[in-house]
Amino acid sequence: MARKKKGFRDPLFDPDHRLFSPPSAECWHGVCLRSQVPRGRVIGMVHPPLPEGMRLYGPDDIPGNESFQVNKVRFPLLSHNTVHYIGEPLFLVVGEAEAVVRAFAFQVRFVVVPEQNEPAAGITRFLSRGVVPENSEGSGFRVVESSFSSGAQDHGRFDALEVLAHVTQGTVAVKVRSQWPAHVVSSVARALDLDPAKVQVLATTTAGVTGNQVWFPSLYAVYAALLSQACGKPVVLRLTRQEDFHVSPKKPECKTFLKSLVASDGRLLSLSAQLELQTGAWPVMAEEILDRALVGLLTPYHLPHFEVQGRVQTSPTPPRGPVGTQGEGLGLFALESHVDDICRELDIDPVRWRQQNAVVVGQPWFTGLVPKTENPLRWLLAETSKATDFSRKYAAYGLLSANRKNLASEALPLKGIGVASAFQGNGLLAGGNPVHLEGRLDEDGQLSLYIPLVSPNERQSELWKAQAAATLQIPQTSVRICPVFTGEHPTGGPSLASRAFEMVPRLIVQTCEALAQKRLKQALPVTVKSVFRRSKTPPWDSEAFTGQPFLSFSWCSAVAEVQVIPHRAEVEIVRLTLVVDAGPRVDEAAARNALVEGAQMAVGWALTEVFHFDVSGHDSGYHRYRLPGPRELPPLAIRFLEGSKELRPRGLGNLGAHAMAPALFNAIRQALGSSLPSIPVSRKMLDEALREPVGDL
Amino acid sequence: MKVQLILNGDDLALSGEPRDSLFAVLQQRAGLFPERVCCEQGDCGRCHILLDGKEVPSCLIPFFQVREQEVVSPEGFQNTEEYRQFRALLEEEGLVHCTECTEVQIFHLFSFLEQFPQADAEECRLAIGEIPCRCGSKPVLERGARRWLASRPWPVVGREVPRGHH
Repeated sequence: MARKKKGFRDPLFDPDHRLFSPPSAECWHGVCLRSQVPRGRVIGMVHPPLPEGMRLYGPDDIPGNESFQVNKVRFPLLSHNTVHYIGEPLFLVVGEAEAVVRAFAFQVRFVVVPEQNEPAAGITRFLSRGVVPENSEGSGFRVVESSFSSGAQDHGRFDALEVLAHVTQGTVAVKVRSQWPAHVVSSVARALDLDPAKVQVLATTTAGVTGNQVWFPSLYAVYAALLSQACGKPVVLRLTRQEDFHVSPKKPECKTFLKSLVASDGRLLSLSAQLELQTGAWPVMAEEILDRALVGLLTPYHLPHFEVQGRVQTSPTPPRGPVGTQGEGLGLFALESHVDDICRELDIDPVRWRQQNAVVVGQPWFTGLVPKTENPLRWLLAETSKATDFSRKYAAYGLLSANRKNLASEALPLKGIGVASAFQGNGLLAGGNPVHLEGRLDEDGQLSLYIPLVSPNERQSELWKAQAAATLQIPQTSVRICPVFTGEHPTGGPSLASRAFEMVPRLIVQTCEALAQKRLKQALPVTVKSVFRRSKTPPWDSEAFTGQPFLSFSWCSAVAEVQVIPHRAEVEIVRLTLVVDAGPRVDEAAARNALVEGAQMAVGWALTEVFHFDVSGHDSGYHRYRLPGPRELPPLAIRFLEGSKELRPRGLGNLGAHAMAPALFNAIRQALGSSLPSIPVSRKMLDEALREPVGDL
Repeated sequence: MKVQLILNGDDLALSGEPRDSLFAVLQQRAGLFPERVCCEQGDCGRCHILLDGKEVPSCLIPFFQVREQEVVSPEGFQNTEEYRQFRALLEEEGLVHCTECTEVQIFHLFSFLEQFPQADAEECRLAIGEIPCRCGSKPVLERGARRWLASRPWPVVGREVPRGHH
């Protein structure tokens, strides 16, 4: 990519700045015209007369490549004749006044002949190690089977997507809240048939590193750029919150069947699992999510034998999978719930079972590697149990539950406690885009760092600055983290939490050390470029599941205490506890904030956020979808495990979400004394469980 | 149509269509709420303003209805000493800025605390929950609200009892 090198050039103060912030009166507005049915062949469009100045834009108007690509998956930007899912953009419309454009779009109807389309090719995985023993029940072994399903989850952010694109004289300027600016560049360049050097993206701050802004903003950046090219004006394309709710990618639904063979003393002998992901019409990110889900199933405990199958199911609904890191959570939810079933079957304390079966030094891991460092799971579980008085409460609540005659008529709340352990994989080592970083030390002693990752907030930028200042021994005020602007920055992959914590700090230190040496040998300004290289550990093979999947792991253990109120069929969370090992904390407040955010995601996923893709299009469910409110969110007790020998901080943004959902689910199941099949645990499900005769539980 | 109003302390006239909401006019004509998308149903709290001292969602207020009224937006509030003090207190408690909700939460919570200076912890929690967001700042806001209330003298309600009288 051609890069301008005329000193420091901050796009926010640049003469071209106007390209990124034109006066709102100059901007035109674009809206997507979407299919109202899930499948079929489009034979026409009915709409009122097009108001003067407005313009319709169809698939035939796209000058470049008509498909949108994310990793290996491609799908049409605007489908020609075939409808693949409900809400699929088929045409675009652009005009001067947003209200008029929206009013027109509201009246457009597509004439579609129902037709069954060929589903997209699925992705499958089959992994097996060792020989799964035959059913040995009766000879001191037990077979435990469970099946679970989890629902889709919306990103829940109210700041819906907004893109500004400005095409002038063959160059494109895009301003978008994206975690992957390099992908915006390549997508826009492909669609407009331009050299990527002609596309410049200003990526603004994202709403959190666990956001929804990886590939989805690129799609709408393409639409805005196409419209701007067609009308010759800067175009703003913004989704309303409801539109965003319908079509933005959700955490995929997952169904899992697990079968374990365990010895009577609790040793896990073998695990077989089948995991199915629902990914909508196009399996965007599905491969990574599936791999991570299977890694989630296989990582925490020692498995002498296992056999796992994973597959991806498509449907005529919007593509799921905003980001790959949700995968571990899906696998861990199924595994940790299944472990609870094993413990109930064998009448073993769940903390003791987990400690007994955690992978230890010397035991081969599922990849065949033998870990060199101690897995902190045993200590974490011991600390969590001590902090919450888990074992006593688990035994007491279990006894109370066993002695109940009729749940629905119970006057007192039904109490339950659940535990779960989880990990977060930081820096997936399979393929992906390399992370580059560039630092320039100017004559005035000012250090400019060009990091291709969008910082989620000022605190993250301050941490990066502090690290650079300490390495170069210059004041922190002399360090600038340049706003991510693709014309100036090296390219890179998505800005994810694990990259921000794992790769960028290493690159900053590497760059600053090189700058420190270089400034002694040559006159300022000096520039150093660094690229993240994999360590010498065997690389991850996502087909064979061998090698090291992540750069590092963070671990945690969670306990949830709940009470179910029978007459209200309602779950009240009494206490949530999280014990975490993620290395030293660079910023305690930010670490706590990330864990609270994760725990809230888990509470919503497990209890309140009920989402159904209604292919009839009559019921959006928007008004019933509820983020957890203050009543569902008790204070979260967080404890960081001290004394870890690891000196580098590791990512922890997903730990709360991965661990807390199974802990809550296990606690609710103990309170009810029954095996609920799925999350979210809706009030209807609770009501049905409470009405079941006790003998059948 | 043109409507005369006092916006963040300035006496001015804004023009808009009669069907426009106050939010749309403030965003498009007055440059307020930059890059903010509102649910336009009064649910999200992202467009809250003070209208003659009362906190309301501006997306549900017709533009023409604010004639001769005083409007204070979060941007206006950010220029006040109270905002600086309250924000500093929250940062001491460990506030991590959320691009989506922090400014809105501070505006909303401060309005609530001004209106209900005797609010208890549960009421503060409920008030914070009125601005839905995924971020993890709620515990910090709760602690901050309690500290803010504790640092303020309670308003005297009824007749003050003289010292020494029981």
